Amino acid sequence: MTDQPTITSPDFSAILAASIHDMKNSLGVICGLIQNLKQANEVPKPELAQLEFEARRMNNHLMQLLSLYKIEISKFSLNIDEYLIKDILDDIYSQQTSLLELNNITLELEYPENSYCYCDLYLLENAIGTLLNNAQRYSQKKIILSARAEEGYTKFTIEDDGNGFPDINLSTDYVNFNTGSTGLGLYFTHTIAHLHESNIHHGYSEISNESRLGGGKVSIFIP
Amino acid sequence: MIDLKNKNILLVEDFPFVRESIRAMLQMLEATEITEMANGFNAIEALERRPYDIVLCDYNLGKGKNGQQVLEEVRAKNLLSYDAVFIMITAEQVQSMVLSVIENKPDEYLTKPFSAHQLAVRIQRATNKKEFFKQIEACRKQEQYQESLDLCNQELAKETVKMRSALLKMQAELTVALHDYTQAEALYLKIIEERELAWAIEGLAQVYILQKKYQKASNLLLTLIEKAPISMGAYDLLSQVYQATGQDTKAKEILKKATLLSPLTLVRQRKLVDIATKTGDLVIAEVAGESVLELGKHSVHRDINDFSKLANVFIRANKANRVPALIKEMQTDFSEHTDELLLASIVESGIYKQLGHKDKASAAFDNALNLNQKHKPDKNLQLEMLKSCFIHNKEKGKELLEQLVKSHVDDEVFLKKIIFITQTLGLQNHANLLIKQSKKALIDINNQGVKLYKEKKYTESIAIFTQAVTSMHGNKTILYNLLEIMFHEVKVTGSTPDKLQAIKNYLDKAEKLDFATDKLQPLQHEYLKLIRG
Repeated sequence: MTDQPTITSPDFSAILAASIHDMKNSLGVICGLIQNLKQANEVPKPELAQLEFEARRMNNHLMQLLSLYKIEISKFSLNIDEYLIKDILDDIYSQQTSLLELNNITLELEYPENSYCYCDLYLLENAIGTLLNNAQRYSQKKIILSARAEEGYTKFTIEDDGNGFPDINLSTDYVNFNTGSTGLGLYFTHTIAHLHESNIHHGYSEISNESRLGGGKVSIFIP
Repeated sequence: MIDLKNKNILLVEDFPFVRESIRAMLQMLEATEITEMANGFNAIEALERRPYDIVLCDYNLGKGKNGQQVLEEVRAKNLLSYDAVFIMITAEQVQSMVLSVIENKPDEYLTKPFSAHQLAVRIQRATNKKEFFKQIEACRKQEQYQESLDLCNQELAKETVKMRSALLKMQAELTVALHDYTQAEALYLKIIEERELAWAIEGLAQVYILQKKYQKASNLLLTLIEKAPISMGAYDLLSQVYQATGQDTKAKEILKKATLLSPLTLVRQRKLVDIATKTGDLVIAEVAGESVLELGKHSVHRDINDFSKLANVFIRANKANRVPALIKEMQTDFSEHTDELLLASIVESGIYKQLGHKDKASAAFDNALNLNQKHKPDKNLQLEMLKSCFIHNKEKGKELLEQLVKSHVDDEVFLKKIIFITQTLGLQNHANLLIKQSKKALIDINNQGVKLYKEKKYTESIAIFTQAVTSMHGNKTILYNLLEIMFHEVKVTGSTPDKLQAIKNYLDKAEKLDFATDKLQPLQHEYLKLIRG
């Protein structure tokens, strides 16, 4: 036996994971710089808002990528516990406030008092946060985030007043890697929903253009 | 939004720039009492000085302790009240997911970057929970489990139940604490029936272990690990089951798996060292042993015995050449004060003895003995010295044994420890005889001194007690009586600078010996009255 460690070539996903870490660090610095710039200007320029939005969006995606990677290699399983729905929505709202202000969009919350839901808090908040970021990009003035119990699931719904999803998103299975088009956020959402399971069902997500506000609508069903 | 006015807040963050921005957020939330620290060491010092209501601590703190080690130390030393809030700030969400599987959990996590609003929501949530559980926790802390359980049941019986999940967990844990295992099993089963929550399954497994139903426990735990591979508690419980049923190799394998998934938990790594050494898997024992030393550097769980354990592994693995460097590392790590130096010398002599280096062993032992003689360390450290003496020099051991018995003959708890050590050496009869003699000597001296005092022969009385203080170093009864008589003598015959100095010296000695405050304080007051005339 020797003390020499054996060197194995890392697989591609490990390299990807390490790159994600690295990119996230850079994004952290960028976010910090944007904050500085915002504080330096009395009236922040709209480009800064856009910059912050894009940086956050990338950051969210990278975080989800990393979470899913860890789950894939079994470093993680979901950390399920019971949470007050109001707490979940309040938390998500607090993450979105500065961006909402910049975009001049109001976010309305609808939820039943004293209702609970089983979930992995971090993953779920992340998924809904990504959907809200997306919705803000396309909506005019208002977004509704609602939650309610429905047939053994807790249904979280995001409705916006934008132009709705293009037909391609509604028809394909959420993501089309060939066209390089959007839909990645929706893919993550679906994956995270699916990872949640009760003794009977798996979670899932649904998209449509049936928003009460006339735009797009995404629902996540958590068992 | 939450009002932080008059809340004592401790902010621990190494980057001045980030610290400043978090402070600004806190001030936006009306915080007025903010203490800032840049590293874990200073954070602990601050927490030891005064109580805080809220601690915001970054996980990455550069050199020294990290946030998790700060939290562990806070919990181990009980530095925060049960209604105070500890929030861990992490660089990324994945990090908080990783940390959330470690045993000591903060009340909340907060991922950078965050806004003042987010900060407020998290503090509010954590404070609400603490407020809600205030009485339940207060009772539990005082081990009034039944009262605590009654309070839980009251809350759970309400029409709208707040904090349901946390209450159910508490209810089950309290039932276990009351040894009502049948009821605890029923409670956990009911929770699991609704949803297979990892904490409930671990709880149930623990109940089975307490009832010695090992098969049931291991079935549950194995299924849980398969479904949710990061249920770290399950690995620990499973290794407990395996050890209890004599399956050491399996216990080692499961701990090995756990440390690969979550390598930062010192206590588990230490368990792995022990079981791997026991089963003769020296490769694993070595890797885990190195991890323990690394993790221990800034941890409250640091223990010098980890060095001798690793040395033992090296010696058994024919890697004795690694031992000197290890000893050097130990000497560097344990060099802050005399107690540490003494401890390091004791351990060093033990290691060299095992190695068969007689000269080096006795040099280190002599060094330890010398330090012990000169500095008269804490009594428990002297017990370590006593053990070492019986390994290296039995005659010195008998001398020290006599000294320790004489000094602590009025300390029953300590005497029991001495007896325990001597039992393993077959010297308990000798120790018991010493104790008997010393008790008699103490009574004799005391009677003699008190008799002289009553006859108003103060100088003679003081002489007797002074001599006894030297011969029975550390004996509190003697020292207390001496001080009383000295005070009385000054009152009767008048004070001189010499007498006052002598009193001061003995008072300092009393303080060093950990006199009970209710005994020491009146004496100190009396002294102050004297010097102020």
